[in-house]
Amino acid sequence: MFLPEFSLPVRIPLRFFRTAPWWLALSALLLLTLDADQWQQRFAPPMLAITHLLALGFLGNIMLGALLQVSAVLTGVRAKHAPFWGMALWLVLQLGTAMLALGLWQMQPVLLQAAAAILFCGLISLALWLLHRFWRSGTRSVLSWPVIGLGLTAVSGTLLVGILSYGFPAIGLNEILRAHIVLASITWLIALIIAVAFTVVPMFLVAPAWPQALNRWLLPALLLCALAAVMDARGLTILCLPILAWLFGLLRLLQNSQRRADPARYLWGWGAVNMALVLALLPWLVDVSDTASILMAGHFVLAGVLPIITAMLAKIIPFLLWLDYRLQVPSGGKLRHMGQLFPERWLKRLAYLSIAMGITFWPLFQLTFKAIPIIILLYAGAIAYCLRRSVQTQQVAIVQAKTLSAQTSNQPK
Amino acid sequence: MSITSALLQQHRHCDDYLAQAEATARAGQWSDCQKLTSIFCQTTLAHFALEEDSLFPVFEQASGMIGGPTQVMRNEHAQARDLMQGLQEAAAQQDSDDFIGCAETLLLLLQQHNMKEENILYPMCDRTIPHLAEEFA
Repeated sequence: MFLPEFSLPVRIPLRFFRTAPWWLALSALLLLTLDADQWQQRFAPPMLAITHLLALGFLGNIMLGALLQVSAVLTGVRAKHAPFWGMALWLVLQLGTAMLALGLWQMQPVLLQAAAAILFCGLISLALWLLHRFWRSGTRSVLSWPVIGLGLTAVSGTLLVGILSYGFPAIGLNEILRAHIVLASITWLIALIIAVAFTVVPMFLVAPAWPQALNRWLLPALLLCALAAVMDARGLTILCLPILAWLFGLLRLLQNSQRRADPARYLWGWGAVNMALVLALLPWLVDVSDTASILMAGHFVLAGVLPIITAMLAKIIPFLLWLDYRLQVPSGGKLRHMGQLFPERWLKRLAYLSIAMGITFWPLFQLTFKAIPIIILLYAGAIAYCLRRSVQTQQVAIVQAKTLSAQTSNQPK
Repeated sequence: MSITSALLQQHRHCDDYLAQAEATARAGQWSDCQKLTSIFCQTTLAHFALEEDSLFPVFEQASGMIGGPTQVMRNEHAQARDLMQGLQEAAAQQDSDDFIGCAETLLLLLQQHNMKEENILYPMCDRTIPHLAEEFA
């Protein structure tokens, strides 16, 4: 079910989307300051801080913006005072991200505890509210699974800060660390990408519907596999199975898409293959060395997640802006279609950049690691520019249409 | 055949024509593109007319739901008509950027519109006015 009349005011998800590139740019600038030794240590304080800037600041803003929008459109879930609560959640995320990154960089327990408290309260409240609304709406929404994942990620992150600060609860640090990484990357990030793909791939790429069995069982299976990996590291070996099932389903849909020349089609395929590749290699490489882990994580984000995010943003944002324009200017006006807000050539350039980032990551890491943040910075600048221009174009078109309409109505008859 | 399955087939035909028209525009085959655009517009407008002139009034009368889902559908038809006009103009002027922009917006608009009709409105029609199914088959 798809109910665009339940769209949130477009500024709510846009605020999250437009903030994300700034955190990505900050992460890249901080990466530039690291020396060769720090690049090789995944648990060095600066590396932990940058990881969280990327995960919460960049990916977190995009995923939460998408979750709010998709929840409203697919299941009609909306807060009573959506602008207020949207702003409150945005502030919680930015403040929590900044404090957590600073706390990790300086290893300041007070900052870490404050960040954990802020993020835990904000994210758990959001997860519980969304689950309650899904349950009340009576729809069996696939979005429930990533929302459960978001809650579990917030809980495991808070426990991790508790162990680091007070040694409480009495769980091994390695176990809770593995739990946090698996829950954040699998049950939250990948689960949300899969849930969004169930709707947007058939719709945006004019592809057949997903098989009912995948729609119904894939996300619970993914959660079960992730929980098995949380309980026991050997469970990591089965994590790739649901992802591979999704990958084959996705590739089949892309094969049968009627929009074969759309750049988004290649980005979805490329990103999904890389995500599945990392998860398939994970159990064999993760304990080998810090360098292997950093390479895997970098490949997962740059070659796996980033192309899919690029494809999603380049479709969702201009369509939302165009719908919002049509709401304010029901007919006529200069803005005829979404291509005037976000031309396809922008998506093509972003696609080249994101695919280049994925392909060059490993060789650059070995040969000239300082080039990696420079490419990331380029991508962050490009996506921030595209978003800003889209919004500006829409705003100017609305003002022009309203001015013209006022002038026409004031003319003597 | 139910109303849902009959009209769902019409949606798929329209999607096919639009996707083919877009592919020919991307390939710069403007003569084919203009023909396919014309077929797509005629087919889609005929489908809209069938709904607006036959299905919606009968459903509104039988269910008493006037100004509800059928009004939302009519508004979206109006938006789609605007975009179809843009699509035909872009095809006539052989402007590929404009054509792809109109086609993509129209595709997304129609896809979400079709989802609502196929999942909500048509099943309601099947329950309320099943006798119309034979006319649409």
